[in-house]
Amino acid sequence: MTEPNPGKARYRDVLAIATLWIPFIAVVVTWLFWRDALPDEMPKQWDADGVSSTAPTWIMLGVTSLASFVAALVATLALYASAAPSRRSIFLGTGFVAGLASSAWLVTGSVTVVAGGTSEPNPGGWPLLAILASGYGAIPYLLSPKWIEDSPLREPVEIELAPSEVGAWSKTITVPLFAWVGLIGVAGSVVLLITMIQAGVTGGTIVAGFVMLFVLGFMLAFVRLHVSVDWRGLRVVSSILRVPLKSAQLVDIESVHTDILDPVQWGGWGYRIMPGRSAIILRRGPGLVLNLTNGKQFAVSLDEPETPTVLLMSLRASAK
Amino acid sequence: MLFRVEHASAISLAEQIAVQVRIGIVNCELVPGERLPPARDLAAALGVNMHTVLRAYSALREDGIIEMRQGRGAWVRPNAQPAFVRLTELAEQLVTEARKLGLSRPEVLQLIERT
Repeated sequence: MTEPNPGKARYRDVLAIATLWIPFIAVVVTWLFWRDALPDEMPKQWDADGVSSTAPTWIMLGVTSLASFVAALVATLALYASAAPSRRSIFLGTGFVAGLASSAWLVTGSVTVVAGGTSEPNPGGWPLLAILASGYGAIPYLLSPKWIEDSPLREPVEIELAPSEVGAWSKTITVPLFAWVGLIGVAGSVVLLITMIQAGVTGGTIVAGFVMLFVLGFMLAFVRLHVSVDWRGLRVVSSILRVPLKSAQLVDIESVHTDILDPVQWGGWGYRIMPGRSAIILRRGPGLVLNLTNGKQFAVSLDEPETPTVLLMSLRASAK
Repeated sequence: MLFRVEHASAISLAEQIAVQVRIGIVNCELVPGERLPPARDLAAALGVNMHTVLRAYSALREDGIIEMRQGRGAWVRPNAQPAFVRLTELAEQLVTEARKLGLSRPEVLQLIERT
């Protein structure tokens, strides 16, 4: 019903891990380049008068490379499926350690090498880079996909309707992609049209501008959708224009099930139309999938798709 | 949310729909600010008269649970928290029980003030 192992790391997690190995690799590679130019002692702290304390170079290298290595290793271990719920937080924390440690090495080493191998170089504003690098974890954090509960069927839903009982389910959903694209597009089209009119542009270009404005404005009408399941089947209607976007009668439904809908599998976000398949995808997460008798498939993202799925099954069974 | 009505029940259809909305809020299936299905749509889906749904919605509005505007539909009031809805249910039960015992409204109020 769902993915065989939803906690399994995906390519975005692997990419995030790769970014966490970069600090350790940078420390090792720069050491290989700088080892002849570095003195035995390197600056550890600076104050207003210059270098206030130093440490042996091998200790500086050991501490920074070990910290960034351990951070990368811990992050790699987070690829285990059992670590999936806290994977992003681990990436953020280990990125903080790796970023801070490697930047401390890179800043100290580079200013020392640039100053000609002295153990008391003037760092200028470079230590600020080390502070900035402490936020390095944000990169793998954003690369890694958000954790979603492993199964959309949290609780088994049972709907048994008495012969004289009628059941209907409905939910209003918002498609943020349509809202953003529509709003930005309408604003851009208006600015473009005003600029063109002021510049004295006429004819087909202006018409094309108005057509674009109309199309994008029309998209805004589909920002809020009303999804319903009842004796008529499944319907997705624009809440604003009351225009049906999709409807499937009970007799046309072959089967129905819940699944984790992935935008990658469904061709992206928003209203997707592909050969034999169409979908309304809001995010990577649970949704309802219809297999129609004509061999086509329709899917819609829903927070809790269990109830409409079970209701559709029940209504379909009683309609036959 | 799921609406189900029992046409053979002694409880009126409007009352059944209103109860479903209350339960929906108590179960957090309906959250404050969430829109209820348009009366016409819900009536068609449940096979009931549109005025039946409107009667249910009006009762919920009188209880301060939902808001309705001409042309804008109905939605759950922002302050209609599950606890508030539960309280209105208990208040209704209290009034019903008091009526059965023949207590007048001032007597019920006096009872509440004493507790």
